[in-house]
Amino acid sequence: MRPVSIIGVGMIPFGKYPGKDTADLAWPAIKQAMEDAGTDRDDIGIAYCGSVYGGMMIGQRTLTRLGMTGKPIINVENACSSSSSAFHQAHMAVASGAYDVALVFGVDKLSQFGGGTIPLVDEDWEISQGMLMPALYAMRACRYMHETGLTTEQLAGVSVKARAMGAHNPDAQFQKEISLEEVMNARPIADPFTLLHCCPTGDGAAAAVICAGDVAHKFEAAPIKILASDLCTGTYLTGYRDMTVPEITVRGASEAYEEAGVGPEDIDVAEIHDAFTIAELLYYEAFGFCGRGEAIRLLEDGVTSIGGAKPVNPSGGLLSKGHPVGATGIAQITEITRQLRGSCGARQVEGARTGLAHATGGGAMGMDHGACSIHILQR
Amino acid sequence: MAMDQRAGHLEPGHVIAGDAGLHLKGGACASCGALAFPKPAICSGCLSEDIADAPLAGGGVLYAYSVIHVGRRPDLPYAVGYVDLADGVRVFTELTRTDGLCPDMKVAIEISPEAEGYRFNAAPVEAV
Repeated sequence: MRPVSIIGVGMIPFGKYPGKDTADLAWPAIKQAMEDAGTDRDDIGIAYCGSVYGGMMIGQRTLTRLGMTGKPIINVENACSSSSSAFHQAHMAVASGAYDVALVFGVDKLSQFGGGTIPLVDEDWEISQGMLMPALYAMRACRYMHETGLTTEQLAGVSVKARAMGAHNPDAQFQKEISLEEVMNARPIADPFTLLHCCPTGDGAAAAVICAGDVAHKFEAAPIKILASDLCTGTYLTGYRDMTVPEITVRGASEAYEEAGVGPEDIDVAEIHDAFTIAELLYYEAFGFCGRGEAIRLLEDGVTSIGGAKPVNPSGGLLSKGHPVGATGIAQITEITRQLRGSCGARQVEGARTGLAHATGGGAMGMDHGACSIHILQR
Repeated sequence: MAMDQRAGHLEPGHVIAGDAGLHLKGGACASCGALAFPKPAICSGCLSEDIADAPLAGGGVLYAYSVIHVGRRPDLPYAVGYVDLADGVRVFTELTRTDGLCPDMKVAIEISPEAEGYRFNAAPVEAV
């Protein structure tokens, strides 16, 4: 396997685009990434598209708009990890030597469902019994609060931090700060979550161009190196499971750190899968940013804010930037790439050299999550 | 959505009559002994397709819960949770009430006949 670098990224501002088709959301992000990379259409050897609700051939329907046909296009569905899984596949295609340059993008349009929780697959028994994604995360919160003494007010602080970060991101769905009182007093969804503990539904697209490390300089003066590209699936259990320790992310983090040859102390900036407030705290611990039960200290001491020692989700995260599920993984990689380039303006993590992106999800009975993809990048 | 209509409802195939009334019907692998619910067609542990009906424990402890305030059901709010049955299986179920809930409290599985199947939930027994 040979080294691979990111040479271009792009995304559209996340939000609601009721008048646009899913494919029409995606092409501007791709065009932006191609221009950022300095690649022509003919340079792209293979393309991957991650999407959950884009429907059959969303990759082809998008790339026909850009006249990019004839070469292989592969569609990847892996729930919230769809485009990060697609990125993992694209990385393998280039690292293996089969292709020199690959395009990977993610897109979803959740506004087509008119709001509410995302539709899940009824064949899963728990889902047939009324399991919803907020309920799943809420039970994690319930158990974690029971075991560690974390309070609802403390948990709400995750959203306040996320919105404060998103306020500086022109691509975020929410660009306005909120108070602790607003989070606490929002309408209840799934206890202990009010609406503002939950990521919004919305639409979006993001794209990246990756390239073999030894030819990257042809296109981009400062390519971003991909140190690790990890993808794993949750371990299936029929019995008891500790919901306060996300085993899929713990395992993925360990694999990714090993592949990259770095540890949690080396991560200067991270984008992690904060679909609901509790997730951010669980993942601080899963990535080894702190010990068990210590996550709230990182948050409350400002360690994970801009200016802290370990900024997490400077984009605003899923809670503020938004979570059009299939687009999320590449949007995180776009943010980390921009952070490592030093081009993030008011939300820039000064001097960031090594960053991490983490997308996990997919409610499936007997698993912590269906999929988890972690990438570690370095300038 | 279909899932909202089926929540709390068990198809007849998911229920078995045991010594002390109705039980959830799990599957016990005749080869390795693994227990699962719903009863699988194949054991995920050893790939045996010889799975015996197994009445699951009628009670356990509430591992975690949430009171749900959204969705299309008319009877909002309602509570759901994971119940750790005494025989080692974890079951996702609706709870009979939304107040006075606490992780680790004892609960009893309640199954009662209703049209085309059974009504299914868990009732808190006492706080521990």
